[in-house]
Amino acid sequence: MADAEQDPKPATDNPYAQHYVVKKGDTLSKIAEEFYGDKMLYTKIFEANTDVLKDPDRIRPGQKLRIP
Amino acid sequence: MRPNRSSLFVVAAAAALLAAGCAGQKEPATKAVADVEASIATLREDASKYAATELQSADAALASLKANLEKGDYKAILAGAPALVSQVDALRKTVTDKKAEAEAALEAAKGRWGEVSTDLPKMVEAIQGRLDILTKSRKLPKGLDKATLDSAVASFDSMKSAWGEATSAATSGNFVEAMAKADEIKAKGTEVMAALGMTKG
Repeated sequence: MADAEQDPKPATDNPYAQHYVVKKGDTLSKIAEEFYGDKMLYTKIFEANTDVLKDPDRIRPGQKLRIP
Repeated sequence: MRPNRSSLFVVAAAAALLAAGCAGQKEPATKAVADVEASIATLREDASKYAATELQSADAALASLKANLEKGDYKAILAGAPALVSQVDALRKTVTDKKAEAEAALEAAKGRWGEVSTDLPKMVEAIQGRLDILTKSRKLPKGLDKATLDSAVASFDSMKSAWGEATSAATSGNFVEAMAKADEIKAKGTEVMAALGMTKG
């Protein structure tokens, strides 16, 4: 899917926004735990990346996600 | 000894000459005081802003000349006026230089404000977003404890308040003050971001 390879939308182009490049074995829950300490907050990451993610259970290595 | 007619004549002649001399000095002395006072008046507004101490000193010297004028000590005025004229010239130069410096600083601050007024709200937005999430988190991420988070929240609140003050200053045209505040806010924001583990990019 071409859009899955895109960077997060430039509409929220914020030089202070934090990004994370998905690695093999990552899940949104795991990323949420790393950044927020709470797996359940994965929805925050999903909501911030709906331009590149259609399903929170499907992320791919190399995808650049915005971490709000 | 009773003065004779000739000695009385000499005294009278000397008195007349002295009076004539004094009368001859009155006009230039009065004009000198008026000229210096007028020069200081043209500088007063800017001088009170850019060289208040030097203005005070010039005013004191002028007051001294005016006191001499009231006493009729024209000689002292004519002797002292050139020094005050030089003092006022130096004051004028100081005012001109400092005013030019202040105007340059204002222009530079105005230019930087354009950039900062776009940049800082983005920093605030990024921190706000992260704090909103972290304050809802049941656990905190590695490297962040409750005390650090609370401190970051307090710093962020003071940043927002300072940002309000900075934008008010800019709206009033005081870009130098606005930029001074903006620089403090950015430094604080950078600290908060580091404390929250937020790295740019």
